Amino acid sequence: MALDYQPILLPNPGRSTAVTLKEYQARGGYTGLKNALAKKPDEVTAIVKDSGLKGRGGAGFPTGMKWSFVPKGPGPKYLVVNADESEPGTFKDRDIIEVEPHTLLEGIAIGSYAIGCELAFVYIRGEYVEAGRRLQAAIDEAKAAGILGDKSALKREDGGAFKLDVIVFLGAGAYICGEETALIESLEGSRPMPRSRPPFPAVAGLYMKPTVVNNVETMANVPVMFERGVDFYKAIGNPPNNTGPKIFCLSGHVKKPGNYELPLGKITLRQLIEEYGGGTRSGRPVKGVLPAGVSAPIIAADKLDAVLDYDGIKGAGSMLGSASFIVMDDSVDMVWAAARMIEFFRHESCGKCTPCREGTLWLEKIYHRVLYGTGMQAGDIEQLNDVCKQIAGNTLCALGDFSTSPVTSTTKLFKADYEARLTSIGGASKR
Amino acid sequence: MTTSTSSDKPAAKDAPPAAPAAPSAAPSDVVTLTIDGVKVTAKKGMLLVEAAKLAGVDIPVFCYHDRLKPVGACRMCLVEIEKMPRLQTACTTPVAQDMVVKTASDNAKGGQRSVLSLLLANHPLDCPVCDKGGECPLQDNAFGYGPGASTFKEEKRHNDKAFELSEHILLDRERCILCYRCVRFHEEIPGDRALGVVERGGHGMIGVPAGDRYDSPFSGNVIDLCPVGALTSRQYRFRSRPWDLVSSPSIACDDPVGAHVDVDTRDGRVLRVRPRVEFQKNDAWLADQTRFGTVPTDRGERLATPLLRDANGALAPATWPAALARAASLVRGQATGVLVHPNLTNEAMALVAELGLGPVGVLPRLSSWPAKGTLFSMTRSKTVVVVGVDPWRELPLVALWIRRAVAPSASSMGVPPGFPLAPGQSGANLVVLHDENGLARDTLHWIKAGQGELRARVAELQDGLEGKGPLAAVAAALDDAPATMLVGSAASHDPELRPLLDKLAATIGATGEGGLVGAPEPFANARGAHEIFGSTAFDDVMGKGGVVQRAAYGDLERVLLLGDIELHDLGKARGVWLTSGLPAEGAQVPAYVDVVLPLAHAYEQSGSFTNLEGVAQHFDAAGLPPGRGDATARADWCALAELASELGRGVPHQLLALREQLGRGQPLLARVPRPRTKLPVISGRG
Ligand SMILES: Cc1cc2nc3c(=O)[nH]c(=O)nc-3n(C[C@H](O)[C@H](O)[C@H](O)COP(=O)(O)O)c2cc1C
Ligand code: SF4
Ligand code: SF4
Ligand code: FES
Repeated sequence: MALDYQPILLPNPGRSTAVTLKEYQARGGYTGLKNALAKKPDEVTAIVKDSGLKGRGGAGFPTGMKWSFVPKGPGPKYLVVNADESEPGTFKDRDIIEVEPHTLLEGIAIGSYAIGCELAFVYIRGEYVEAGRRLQAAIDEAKAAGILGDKSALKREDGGAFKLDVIVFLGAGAYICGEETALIESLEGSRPMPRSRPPFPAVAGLYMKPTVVNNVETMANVPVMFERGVDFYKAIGNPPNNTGPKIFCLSGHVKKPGNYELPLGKITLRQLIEEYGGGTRSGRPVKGVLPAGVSAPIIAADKLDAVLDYDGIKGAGSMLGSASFIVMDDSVDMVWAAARMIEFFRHESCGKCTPCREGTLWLEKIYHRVLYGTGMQAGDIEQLNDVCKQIAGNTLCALGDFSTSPVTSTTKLFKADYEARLTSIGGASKR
Repeated sequence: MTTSTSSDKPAAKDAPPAAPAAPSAAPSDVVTLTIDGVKVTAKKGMLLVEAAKLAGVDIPVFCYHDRLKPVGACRMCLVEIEKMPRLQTACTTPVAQDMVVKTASDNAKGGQRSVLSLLLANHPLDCPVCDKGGECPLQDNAFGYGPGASTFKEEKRHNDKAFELSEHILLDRERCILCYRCVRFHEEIPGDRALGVVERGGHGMIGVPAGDRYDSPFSGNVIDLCPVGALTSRQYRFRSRPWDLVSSPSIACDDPVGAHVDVDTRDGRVLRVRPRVEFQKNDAWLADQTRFGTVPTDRGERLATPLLRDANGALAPATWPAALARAASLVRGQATGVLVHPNLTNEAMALVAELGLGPVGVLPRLSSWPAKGTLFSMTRSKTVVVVGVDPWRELPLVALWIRRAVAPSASSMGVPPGFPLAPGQSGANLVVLHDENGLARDTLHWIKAGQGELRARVAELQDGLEGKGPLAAVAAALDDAPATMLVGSAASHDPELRPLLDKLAATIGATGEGGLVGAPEPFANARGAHEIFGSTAFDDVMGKGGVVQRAAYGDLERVLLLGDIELHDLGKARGVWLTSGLPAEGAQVPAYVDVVLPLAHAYEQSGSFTNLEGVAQHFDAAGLPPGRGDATARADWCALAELASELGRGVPHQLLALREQLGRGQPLLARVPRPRTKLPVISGRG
């Protein structure tokens, strides 16, 4: 039985064209911004803090807290919106930008006001050409209507004019560009390699100026808090840890893949797959689910009753991350699946730090030998896990950690798939 | 052996300031922390890896280098910090009050071992044939912190073994551990981004951006920076092992900055030249021309015995006494001129002045505008103007100081380790008037102007400063004093341009305070020549009244040529040539030369040079001059002292005594600091 819930981020399911400024304003759009501008910037940040909103880009960091780290003094500050969306199985930000660009822009405007930013950037993955085009069109609309730009008709609480320009920047396509400091490097025109912290972006980010990086969906959550009030927002979901709406990207072996916007903590993983996704395409049982693209440990079928929020997925031994659920039925060989994920990480490792650069290379070599070479040998599971231990916790950015979870989780949960490849003489088994 | 500089006891009016004083640490400026049980007090902002040194704790590193910004790439320096959930990189973590750090706990060691085993898993096992063997941090760390054997059954990565990055530098892509020091060097210090990464991740390789050449006047520095034997010098490759080398300090013999170098010799033969850190001169860097261009053994066997022209006009080897007697008899009582090369030592030059054999000219011709101010003071400049010279190619180490002035948050020139760079501090505005500009990336305005156009452009710039004319907008960038103004040699000689330049310097505030002003030249001792011979020696020696012209007209019958001077014709005059530049066999000697006296190379003798700031620096011999027994090339001052004796003008044949005697009449020599250790008393061998 589907939940009774009115979507906020994607209120027009099925729509494929962009909501125009007129349409957006007709449904109350940009009143949130006006309400926010009537408050002091600090109050705006406090409200976002109070809302309980956590970053939707993966790490789940409290958004209001992030904004409060930005130093108050003079000098430029930047808001950078992360629309790189390159996690496999993730396609929510694209829907937001392509259909609801003004929701994003309104969120950007409120966030910029809160941190004192007059120049915001939206870093869109290179393949999202259409999304970039539509966002630019929406920016042009909002400027022409006196909302954005340096001729905005809007006034700030202190009586000054509200000023904000938004720059759309298309990346050139690399997974690592989604990591916020690599994204900043890329935006500055350098090779995207993560920066070592400290300094944190909030202190020295883009052009070494205070910078907030937030995900598209995070920013799209903001306007409603100011349009309908923070109490309305706080009532959504499963507070205090799991507040607000969340888009769940469902893909893999399901009948109806897609974006499903639901309150956090109100349904289980099984419900998502069966009630929303229509169950597996083949009708065969689910073998495992990746809850955060390929970046978090796989969840086996015995944990399908986990509640869909930060705490619930954590309890199932994984992480909600970007909430991109890739469902695999029992036809999947988990050795092959893990190998495929390792290929991805080997390919996407930026190569800056030793453990991830070298480790993913060796993991891939071992998997390739197991799958396409001389086959599985005794001790391989241990060696794979040893390499993971050498990587995990030792890397510069989280990609290195991510890269170990396909190995550690599949060797633990699906050991039988590995053992099936072991023959008595240690050669390859047929598949 | 040692070198010392006159900054120890500043005497000249242009003497540089003392080293920047360590910031006097107010109590609130320091924190106390514990590293491996040792309590240390460190300056706020200092990195753990530096603080550990204070505690006597060694943390292994690869990517960290105290002249480059920390990046936390290699992860070798992982340490455990109490209350932190993960291991942290000591090279990127600043110290904090009451921090408790463990560098050798099981946890920390586990991290270090992980990183090392992953680095070694793909590293070739060719240490026995690797140039770096014996001075390799990877070897050292592997012994100290390593895991033992690799357990992988898979093949190591294969890649280019001797990829030619440039004519000087080869890259072994299998040995490279991708620490990015080389890339970061070019990004930060010269700022030319000459190296980068091609491909990505485990397939990443150091290389040059597609279609480009590895073309930087500073490329050799990456050889020193590379923590493994991936970057090697074509010149030094396979010539020696580090443990067979003796390393001695000296002063670069072709460079006006007075760069401090280490000269590595094997059995007395100079094999390579590397920079030695001197924060206020070359910092940790050398220009390629010094590194690759001043190794004397590179030219093969050199002449060690004097040559005399015989009755048939052929040159034949002779003993020193015979050659000196002949040289003396040639000049005695004859109208004699002297030509001096600006790479000669102060002592040789002062002896020339003392002997007073006749008119002196300096060849090549030098600028008549010795610099005022110091290199380090350029860090205070807000404006830098360059006229008629491309420092990038002609004065590379000066160009690094310009970059430091322009990009203070990128370049660590002159910043001792532990001193933070100025984050986000805006640098000086750079304006260049010249047809070449290697500093283009850092230049705010580049006005392309050939020699012939300089007068007009400088006049326009002057107008611009009064808000008039086409360069008014450019001139607006020259607003901030203090300023540095560097002028090319030719421009400094132009009698109509010079007053315009003087006026420009005064207007923009290039006074020698908070910057450098003048026309330094790419020689080791042009400044010494200036102080010793005075400005008349800088008139055009080829021109009217110059030594060469007077010889050609028959006014001079003899010419003493000192140093590696290239001159084809001297009219009817006969020459005595003291030079270090000739090969043992088949020397090309101009027909006017009757006597050749072979000199030691600067790295094979002791002496002193005066750098462009006017700082005189003593150096000792690092290598042995060619020859054996008495048939040995001599130090420049020593050959001259012997000639003086032959002429009946007794002077000491020992450096310190000679310097002391000459110093009575020559203030510059009195300024040369005493060497810090006692010199072995050898006469004649430098
Ligand atoms: C390898 C890697 C890839 C990432 N990719 C994305 C991405 O595509 N989109 C995104 O919003 N965040 C991504 N992140 C997370 C960002 O670094 C950052 O935490 C996020 O943009 C912060 O926004 P939020 O607080 O609104 O979630 C990635 C992180 C890592 C380590
Ligand atoms: S963990 Fe991987 S992606 Fe992240 S910095 Fe290191 S090499 Fe690059
Ligand atoms: S070539 Fe040497 S310095 Fe450059 S990245 Fe490789 S190991 Fe480091
Ligand atoms: S030395 Fe610290 S990460 Fe490389």
